This record gives sequence, structure tokens and C-alpha cells, in this order.
Amino acid sequence: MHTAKKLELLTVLGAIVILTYITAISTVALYEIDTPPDDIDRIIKVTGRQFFWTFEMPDGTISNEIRIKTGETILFEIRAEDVIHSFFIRELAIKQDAVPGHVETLWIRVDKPGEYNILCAELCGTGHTFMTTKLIVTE
Amino acid sequence: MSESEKTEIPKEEQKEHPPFYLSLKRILTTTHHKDIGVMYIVTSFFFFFLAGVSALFLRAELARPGEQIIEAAVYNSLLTLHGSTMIFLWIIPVFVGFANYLLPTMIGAKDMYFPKLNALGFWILPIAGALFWLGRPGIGWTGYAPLSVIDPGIGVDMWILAMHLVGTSSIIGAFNFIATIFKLRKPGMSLKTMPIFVWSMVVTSFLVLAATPVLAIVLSLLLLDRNFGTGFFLPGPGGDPILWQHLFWFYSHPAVYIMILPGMGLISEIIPRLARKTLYGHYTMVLSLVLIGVLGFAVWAHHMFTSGLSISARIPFMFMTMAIAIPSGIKVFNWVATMYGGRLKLEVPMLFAISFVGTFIVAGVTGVFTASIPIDYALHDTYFVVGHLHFILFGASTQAVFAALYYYFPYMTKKMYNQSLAKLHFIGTSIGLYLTFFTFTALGLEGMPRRVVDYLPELMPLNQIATFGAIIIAISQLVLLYNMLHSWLKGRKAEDDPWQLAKYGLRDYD
Repeated sequence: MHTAKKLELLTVLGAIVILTYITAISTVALYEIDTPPDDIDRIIKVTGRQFFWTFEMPDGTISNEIRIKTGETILFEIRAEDVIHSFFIRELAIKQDAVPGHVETLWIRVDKPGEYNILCAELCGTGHTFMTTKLIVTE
Repeated sequence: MSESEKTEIPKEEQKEHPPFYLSLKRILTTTHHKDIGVMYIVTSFFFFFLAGVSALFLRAELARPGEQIIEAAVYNSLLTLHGSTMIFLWIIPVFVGFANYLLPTMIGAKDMYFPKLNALGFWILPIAGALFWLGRPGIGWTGYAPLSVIDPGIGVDMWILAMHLVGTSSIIGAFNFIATIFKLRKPGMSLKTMPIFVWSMVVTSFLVLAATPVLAIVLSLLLLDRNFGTGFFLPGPGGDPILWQHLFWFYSHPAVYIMILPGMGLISEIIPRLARKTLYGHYTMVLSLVLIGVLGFAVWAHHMFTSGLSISARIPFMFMTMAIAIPSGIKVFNWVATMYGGRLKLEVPMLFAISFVGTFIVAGVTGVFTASIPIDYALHDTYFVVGHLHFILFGASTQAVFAALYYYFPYMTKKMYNQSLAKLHFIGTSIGLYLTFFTFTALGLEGMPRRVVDYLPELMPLNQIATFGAIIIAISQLVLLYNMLHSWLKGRKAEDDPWQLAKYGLRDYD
């Protein structure tokens, strides 16, 4: 039984070390992801409504999809009109909720050209599934 | 012993304990804790099958991309009913049922402290169930505002009332358990020597008492917003939708532990008896229960990592969420240490208990992934989270119920079930659960959002595997249903000591 006690203590200490390490690297990564860089190229205003996304470019044009260039640093300002939506760029594995009354931000810089799926990740009503569009990245 | 005495004793026993379920009047009026316990368990199983069928409809719809058999509005209602029913009418009350049946006997009490309140707590549940299923709102079991505020019709109002009722039932039960445990313990049973299941009900009951009033508050605010023009959750009149999430998860995260701690308690009773040993580390088992209960109140914002809270508000929640893995790990270690060197015969309850421990590890590890905020940015509101919560609620909690059911069935019904069918149920459940829920986590990594009625065509193979797994789970539960009903009515008589505990100097509560 004495060995079992030692083993248990060792397990607990091991778990503490591993979990502290995960928390530490996650914290560092979180600050990196959540701090927008100083050299923002464009600010795009994103608005979620039942059941579609609209995007307002810096020049005032409004569109239902996003076209950007590779290497461009984009800051999204995310709003919602009616209920909570979640702005989810699937292939970039990142999302930010769009909350009525709030303005949330999210920044991206994409190096690989292609078509990326924009989905809604928060149940927002009967059209939730079909609240999709594309992020198109060209050279 | 004279001849007359010999014949008298069984007669008297029969007079004292004719099964209560044979008379409708006794079903409606009984306040005995064992009767109420059985009624809780049977009713919960009814809702388990009902919610299970709704899950099959969801999986059938998702077997192919495109809208197949049900439209989006019905799909949203079904997913809300599946979640609400499984949580509030299956896993929470089924544990209350086992606690009613076992707890007074474990501490040497004749009945619960308030037997009539106990019956009231039970009879509230069918009404709540009817309100859920007649209302059929499509807002998800989390009922996020403002969607739940602007949803037309009275479905959401009925959902709110049903949630109020299940909350009231929980509070009644928790009060009663605490009064029973602290007032009716037999002399000589101290808090130190109290069985772990009783300890798990102490912690669970305090969680209920501390958290459920907050649920009542947030539901009442929603009712006011919907019907009396207030704006607690609407930005226009100065409210904030995020308030709903804070208050809702302040209840619903501790509620996750309300849904697993009694299961851990039951497993801690079953493993040592079927390993024919005493439980390893009684003191650390109690300590880890209490730690989980306390830490459970400090992690609610991990459901809101993408809601827009500031970094400095989220990091402590990430830290606390990681910390809760440690007492959980202590429990796993103690269960394994209890089995180590034991005389395991792999009876059906033991199979489910071992599977509980294994699946709980898987569930815990998937939880650590989502606890890390940068990883949660990818996984939040995807099928990964759906997989994680099903590993906990089906893989762990429900398998704990199965272990307890197979262990206590001979005590409850005085009948023995068919062992081969029970093993078939175990094998089917295991295969089905890993097939379905591992596929869910894979779908989450592929970026499939939850609560969708359609998906990108490339995700079809994984979705078909998940649907196939769900069918295996469903068929296995039919085996369980048949085995239980058939054995209850026509099974062979169980022995007095069905698990041969006396041979090893152990005993169960009678």
C-alpha cells in the first residue's frame, strides 16, 4: 500500500506539471492570437443577421462574401443585429461570437490562396445551417 | 422453531412488502423511499428511451447531406428536446432514484427525513416532461438569449416552466438528502466512515442548493423579457445577452457535476465489492469529491471562451478548468488501485464499471483540449464539444447507471436477469459509443458546427459512421429493455446474496 501512495502522489505531481505546461503555452498563444498587429491593412465590418452575413469594406462597398489578397492583414469588426451568431472561418479554425450590442474583433492574415468556408457556429434559428458564405483569397 | 412460526414469517413478509407497483392506489400514494426510488428510475428510463428516439431522428437526418427527412424547424425542436430531456429528465432524476433507494439504507435510516416532500419531488417530473414535449421550442437546451427572447409562440414559455419545475424538484430532493444524511445517520456512523455514495450525495445536494436558485433567477428574467417587456437580455433597452450566459452557466456548469458525482459514488460502491476488496483511499475519495464540487463553481466561463470576454477574465477560468482534472485523476487512480490485485470475475456490473473508468478518462482528456482557449477557438460549438459531452454523459454517467442497475437489480426486484443478454448489451453499448462519439470528435476537428441540419458533402462518410454507431447503441438499449422487463416479470428468483459477498467478508446494504 505504501508504494500505491507514492505512485498516487507521483501521478498527481505529474498531472500538475503537464497541466501547468499546457496552461502556460496556451496563455502565450492566446495573447499572440488576440493581440492585433499594428500594421492593419484593412478593417472589414462583419454583421450577422437571421440568416446571412454582410461585409462592409473600408471604401463603403457592401458584399456577401469576402475577397482578400494573400499576406494582407485584416481586422474584422463583428456585430449582430438580432440574435447571437458566431463568425466561424472553418479552414482557419477560428471563430468569434457576434453578440447584439457588442463589437468584437478578430484579425487574420492568410498565406495560402483559395476558398475558405465561413459558417455560423451558434444556433440562431431555423436558417442557422445555411448562414454560410466564402472567404476568397487570391495572390 | 415451531411449524407455525416457520409458515408465519414469509406470510408476514408478504404482507409487509407486496410490490407497490401492482396497485395504482399505492403508486399514487406511496411515500416509501424504496418505492419512490424505483418510480424515479422507471420514469427516467422512459424519458431516456424517448430522448434516445429523438436522437435517432437527428442522426437519420444527418446520414446524408441536404435536408432529408425533417425540416430545420423540427430538427431544432428535436435537438432541444433531446438535450433537455436527457439532462433534466434522465441523468439527474435517475441518480436521485438510486439515491432514494440506497441512501437511507446505507446510513441506517428507516426512510427519508421528509417522505411526503420526497413524493412531491417525484410527481413534479412527469408534468415537467409533458411541458417540454408539448412546447417543443427550437432554441437548444442552453436557451441562449436573445434567440429565446424573440422566439414567437408559447413553446419557450412552456420550456421555462418545465425548467422551473425540474429545478424545484431538484431543490426538494437536495434538501431532503441533506436533512436525512445529517439527522438520521445511525449511531456510530461518522462523517469519516460514511459510504462514498452518501458523500457524493452530500456534495451533489450542496451543489444543487447553491446553483439551482441562480437557474430560477435567470429563467424568471427570461420570462419577464418575453412577456412583460423588460430587457435584461436585449441590448436595445440596455440589457446584455452575455448576462444570460453568465447566469445560465453558473448553474449549468455545477450541474455537470450534479450529473456525474452520484455516478462516481455508485461506481465507488460497486468496484470494491466486485473486486472483493475494500475501496482504496476513502479519505482522498471524499477530498476529491469536495474539491470537484468547490472548483465546479469557478469554471463556468469556459463555456464562453469565444463570447468576447477579455483575455484577463478568461485565463483564470482556463487555469481552474485544468485544475479540476487533478481531483478527477485522483479518483481514477483510486478505482484502478482498488481493482489491482482484486478477485475480479467480470460480472456485468463490473464490466460497465471498468468501461465507466476508461470512458471517463477519454472524456476528461477531450475536456482538457477544449479547456485550452486557443484550441477552443477551433473546437467551440463544433461536434468536438458534442463528442466530449456525450463521452461524459453517455460514456461515463449513463454507464454508471447501467452498472448500478445490473448490480442492484436483484436486490430491487428479487429477480435475476439474463447474463448473456446483459453482456450483449455491454458489448453493443461499448462499440456503439466509441464509434459514434469518437466520430463526433473527428467531425469537430473537421470543423462541422453543432446543431446543423446540413453539412459540407465531404463530411458524409464520417456522418454515416456516426449514424451507424447510433443505430448500434439503439439496438443495444432494446436488448436492455427486453432483458429488464422480461426478467422483472418472468426471471428466475435471485439469491439473497447475488454477488457472493459474504464469502469475502463483505456485505451490501439491506
